[in-house]
Amino acid sequence: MKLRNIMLISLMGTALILHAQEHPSYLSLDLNEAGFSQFAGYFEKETGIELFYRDEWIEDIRVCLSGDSIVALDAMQAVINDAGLNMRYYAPDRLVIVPVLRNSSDLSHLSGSNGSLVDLPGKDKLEGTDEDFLEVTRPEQMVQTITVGKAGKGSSRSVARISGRIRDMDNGAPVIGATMVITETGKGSISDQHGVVKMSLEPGRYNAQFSFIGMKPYHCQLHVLSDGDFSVQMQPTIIALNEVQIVGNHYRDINSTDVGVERLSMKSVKKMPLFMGENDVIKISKLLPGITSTGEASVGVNVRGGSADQNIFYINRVPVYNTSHMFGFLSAFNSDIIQDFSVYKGNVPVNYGGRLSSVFNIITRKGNQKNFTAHAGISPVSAHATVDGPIVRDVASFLVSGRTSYSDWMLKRMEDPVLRESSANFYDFSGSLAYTLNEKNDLSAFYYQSSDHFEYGEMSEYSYGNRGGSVVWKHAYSPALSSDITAAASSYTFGNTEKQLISQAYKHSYKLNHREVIAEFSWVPALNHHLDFGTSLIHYALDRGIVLPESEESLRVPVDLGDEQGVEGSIFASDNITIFPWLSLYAGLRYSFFSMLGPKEVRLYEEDQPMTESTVTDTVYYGKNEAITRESGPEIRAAVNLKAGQNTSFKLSFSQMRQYLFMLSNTVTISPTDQWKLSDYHIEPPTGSQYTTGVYHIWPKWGLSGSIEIYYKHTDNIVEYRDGASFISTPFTEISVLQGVQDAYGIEFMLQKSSGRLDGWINYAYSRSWVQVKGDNEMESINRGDPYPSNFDRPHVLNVIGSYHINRRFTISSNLVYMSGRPVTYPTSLYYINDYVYIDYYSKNQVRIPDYFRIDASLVIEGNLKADKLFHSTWSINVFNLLGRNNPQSIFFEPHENYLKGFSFSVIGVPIFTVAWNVKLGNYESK
Amino acid sequence: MRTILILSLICIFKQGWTQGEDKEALLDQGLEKYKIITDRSRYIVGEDINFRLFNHNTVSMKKVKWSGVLYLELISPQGFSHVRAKFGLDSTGVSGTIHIPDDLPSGLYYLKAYTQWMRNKGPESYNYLSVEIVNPYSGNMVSVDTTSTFSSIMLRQGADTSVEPLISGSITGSLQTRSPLSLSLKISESMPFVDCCVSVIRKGLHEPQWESMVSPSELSTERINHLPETRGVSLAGKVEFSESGLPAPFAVVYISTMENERQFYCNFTDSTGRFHFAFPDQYGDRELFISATHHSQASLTLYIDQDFCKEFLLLPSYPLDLDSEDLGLIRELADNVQISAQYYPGQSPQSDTGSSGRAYFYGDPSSVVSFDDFIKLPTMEEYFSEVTPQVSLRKSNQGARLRVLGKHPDLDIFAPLLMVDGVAIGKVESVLALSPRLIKQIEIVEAPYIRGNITFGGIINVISRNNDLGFIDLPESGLLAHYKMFNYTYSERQGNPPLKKRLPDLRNTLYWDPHIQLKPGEDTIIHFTTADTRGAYELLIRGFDKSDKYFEETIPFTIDY
Repeated sequence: MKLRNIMLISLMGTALILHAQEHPSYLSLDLNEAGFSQFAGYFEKETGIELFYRDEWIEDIRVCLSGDSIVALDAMQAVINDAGLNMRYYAPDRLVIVPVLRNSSDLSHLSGSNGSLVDLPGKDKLEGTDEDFLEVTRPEQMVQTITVGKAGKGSSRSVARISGRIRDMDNGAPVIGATMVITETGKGSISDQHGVVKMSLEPGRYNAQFSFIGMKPYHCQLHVLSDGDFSVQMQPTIIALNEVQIVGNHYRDINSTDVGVERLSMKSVKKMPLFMGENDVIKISKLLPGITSTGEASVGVNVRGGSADQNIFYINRVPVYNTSHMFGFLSAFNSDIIQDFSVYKGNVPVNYGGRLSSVFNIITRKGNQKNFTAHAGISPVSAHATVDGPIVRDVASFLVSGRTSYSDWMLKRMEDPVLRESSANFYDFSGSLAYTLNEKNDLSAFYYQSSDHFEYGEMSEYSYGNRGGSVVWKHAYSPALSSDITAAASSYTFGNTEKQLISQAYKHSYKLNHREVIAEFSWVPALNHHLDFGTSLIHYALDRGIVLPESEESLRVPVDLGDEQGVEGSIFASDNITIFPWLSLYAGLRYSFFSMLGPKEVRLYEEDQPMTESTVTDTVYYGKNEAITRESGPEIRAAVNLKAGQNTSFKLSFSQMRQYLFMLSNTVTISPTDQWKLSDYHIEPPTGSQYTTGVYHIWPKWGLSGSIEIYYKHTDNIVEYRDGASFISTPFTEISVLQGVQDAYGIEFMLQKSSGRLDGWINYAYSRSWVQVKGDNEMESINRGDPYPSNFDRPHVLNVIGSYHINRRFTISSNLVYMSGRPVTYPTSLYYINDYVYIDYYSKNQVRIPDYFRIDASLVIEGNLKADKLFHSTWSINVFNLLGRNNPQSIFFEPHENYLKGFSFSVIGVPIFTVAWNVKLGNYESK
Repeated sequence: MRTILILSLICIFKQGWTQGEDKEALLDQGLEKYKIITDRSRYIVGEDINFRLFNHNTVSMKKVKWSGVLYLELISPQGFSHVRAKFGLDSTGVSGTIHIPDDLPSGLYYLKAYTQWMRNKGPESYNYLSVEIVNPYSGNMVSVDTTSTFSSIMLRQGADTSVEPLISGSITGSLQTRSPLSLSLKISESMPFVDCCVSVIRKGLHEPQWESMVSPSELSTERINHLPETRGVSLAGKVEFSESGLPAPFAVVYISTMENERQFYCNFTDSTGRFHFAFPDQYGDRELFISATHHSQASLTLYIDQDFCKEFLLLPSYPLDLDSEDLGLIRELADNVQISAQYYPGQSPQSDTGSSGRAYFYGDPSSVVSFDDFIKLPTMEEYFSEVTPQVSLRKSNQGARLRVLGKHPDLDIFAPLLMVDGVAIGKVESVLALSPRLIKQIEIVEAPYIRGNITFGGIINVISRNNDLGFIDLPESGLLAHYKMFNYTYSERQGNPPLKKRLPDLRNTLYWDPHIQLKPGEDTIIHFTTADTRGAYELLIRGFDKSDKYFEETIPFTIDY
């Protein structure tokens, strides 16, 4: 509000006559803060002059006037001028107020010819055309500049270590596996499980590009001054169906020193044909090169010719000893919570160890830090639900997920009366909390539990379960150095009641406890170096249980299989060195040790004699926590990456692994009654070395990536079992165990397309796996000491998987699996001596069961693409084993009159049709 | 149908010309004659010129409704056009206003009036009428050419008349400000019928004006390049093949108006590559997007004929010579103009009422796919294929093809009319290349759309969020033209504004009625209100008698109270 103070006293008596006014009117007034209309009314009344104005021009005017005999027009002129207005007096009785009044110029030129003459445009300008083109300005692409560090701080160093945290703009979750590439140097870095990228750069300005599948590529300029942190938010986006691009994983294939690493995004997992309507990462991992299984209902996987116990499964650093539900029909992980899934089957990072063949690392997604989300689904066998959301927005979040079966109804419909009496059920549950204390500290906790129960009529009953949890504290000491301190615990139990033969009926329960502490550090000390180092300590406690007779009719003698405990420790360090932009090196060393601890009774046997009950010479008793064995050794992990251009690289790697824990199994697949066992006084820990070379190429134009990897793997002290070994009749396992060597080699081809309307992969592997157990005598040899194909030797494996996106709502997918049959040992003859049946066998694993071939297909129908909706649902219609082929899981023979009659046993010999329905909160885009 | 009639008339006309039968009559028929009267002869910049154009064509010309569009320009004596406007013509002529730009230098100007048909006979046949314009805010003046010989015979308006003043009038009412006055006009029995204009202005604002005199016998019509505009404002031009420069026959030319009210026109070019469009119901300055496609997919170049005549005549010029009394009046009038402009803003008739919604020529579409209803899809192609079931999109080596799906069989046969913001886009690819973030919705008309002899299998109109065509790559042949349609300002009687307290009435023309018909024996009463200004006024009655002779009558009066 404008305040006008007009002191008109000063105007009194002055000669300020502004207009020729024949009879000037005078005002006598005393106004203080009066509105203009009040003043105007008074003015009009006193002078008889009519005022014209618009209310909006005068509404802010406040008049403060006092005095006698003020010339009315002068007073008005002063008030009006002070308000920035003008007036025009139409004598004698009209006054018009107007904001702008241009004064006419001297018009004398119009009365003579003394004006300045202007040539108006003439003919020459008439030729102009009326045509015009549309002028458009396109929005410039704005590039954000991120300043890292502080000016002057890093002046003494020529290297700035920068650390960036990449988050998902929508839910605040870390983006794992995103790449940051510096355009100028071509240098790249990949975000870790906390979404953090680290890099060392010379101070300066760089163009950085961040990319990740399903995210909008983010460009920015990094202004690096000194060591420092920065953060980047990436926006999830929908990739055009037709767009082909090479992202994340494939960049990694070319630029990193990773060899023999497979990664799956959950996005691709969700497009795969489903078995029983369930998304299943473990099942899909079996379609990757070098990873096979023994059949549909098989627990565990065989990686590059190794047995199932040579793989470790981590979910958020919690080891899971049995990853299956329902004997392997389904995996024990709810795919709704999985964010990142990687398999290390070649060069394993030094942070991991303890298994010969591979590490499966699953990282679950953190709860949404911004909004609540929910997912749920039902399939013919199970229902699952996941809820996550913020506890404190942008700071703390939770996630809970559960899955349970209701498959009993299917068994009740079976024709087999025994199956009708059976029941099978399972559940799994997981929960996690994530808490960002501050920019430097993150805390997360995770809990996982799974349980299975199966009753086969009145005959047998199995139950098993995993339970575990982990707490991870991430701390950044500086942009260059950060650590992850993890405490994890896991327990695996099973119980088994066997009543098929009343005389042999027994029950047995088993428990394994795994407690682990890991400290991992990540350090960027200098330009072109990235160090990882740390230490870990595991404590194993095994209660192998007591085998008790189930009923009074049972003739079994109770056997206490005893307890075992051991510690496994390691220190490790690795350096990722970029020597030249085209040459990088991974040099790592892990030194691990293992000690089996008492209390324990250890039997000693006659030297140079097979270990049998009859060759026991002595029993040694070890006290509590007394070291029974001390095993240790270095594990070298090294890899070289030679880049040949932008799109091709050659890699070499050498990797050593040691395994201190193995599974007592006399079947080819893991069964719920298989016991884990520590290596002990008699059983040496297996050790392995693997040489891998590979060539990797990407075709960006086609969105294709391809690789060829060749490996050779040699393992010592591989654990094999004597024929007919039983692990529940004696605690002294060594009498059933033989140790030998395993040689595996192979070549794996992979061609993958992960974007575009058609995506999927084709891979083919030729691989062999040979075992040789050659003891000092024939009793300690298998196959007379000659090499024989291992149980998992499948020379030819072909996997084709493809999804075609008809549009966003309809996707058809299919996969094809071909595998050579696995080796078995067949009987050759059967004869009777004194009415006892004797069977002669071929040499071990000299024949194979028929080849495995299967095609599955699925149709996924997404709900509509409306933006505003509460739920988005997805239907998937699946046919498993479309051809209904009987793929034999095993072959067995039964004496039939005078010959052996062979039977092949297939688990699924018909097409299985399932429909599953999944629903989530929000729309198609929602996570 | 109308075009055919006109063309046949032209044939008869030309034939008659050559055969020499009834030559004079046909010549008369071919010549259009118009006369202008303005409300006064002297104006201040920023004022409106009120005019009346009298149609003095022969009765037969009036019957066939020959030219329907009057081109009126305010030109300097050197021929440069400062204001251009088009008005619809009928048998009585037309009345209207044109606005004088604020920045004109003082001097003598001319109103130049013609029709497209008159262009065939050249600028000599046009009607010119002088007006004096004073710019009191600038010392500049229009230069005066005293040396050239002028190409037209100019006479003082009324100089040729011998009509006796036969109109008598009497003013009743109190001669004071803001009060109603009535004028009673009576015509003598000897003047049977009179069509005239009445204006009430300050004394000193009207002097006899210069007017061109056309002698038809001096004009020849050898060429007919300009067709008469019988269906409103027309637009003509030609399409050539860009490479060869040869005319492109049977190309389809699309015209879209770019303002809020989106209209669409299309037509084929003839065998010489020429095209004609008529806009019977379009007003104001329109921005047109014009493009063309040819079945050969060749790239085309479009040319549009100048709508206003660029040919000019050198007209007589003389300096303004105002005495001190005139100057005092000019100052007052100038103040009145600028004060009125501030009290009654936005009354400029040119201002387009910027309505927020856009209306398209097809009315309500059959269906609308609003992008905000759906998740953000990355490409236009996906919007068509995923959420627009009314449209099928096929892509092949020949390019992309869109079809509207619907019950009508024509939809399968004819390609739809594909538009962005009402602008026809020939290439599906350029629509697919749009950024969907800039697009608001897709409107679909699921019925065949027939425009002349062109049938479209429905309409697909992609509408951008900011009415910016989504920054589309416009067709190569496309061009954007500012084109004048009919002027908005058709002046009718003015003289009785609603008077409000506190708002001054400072009209410089108190009354203007361009259409007053006086009949013998009848009193014609005119009512008007005086303004807030005092002074000497004149009431001017001007017009033409039955024989098209000019007459003028002045009744002076003074408002001094």
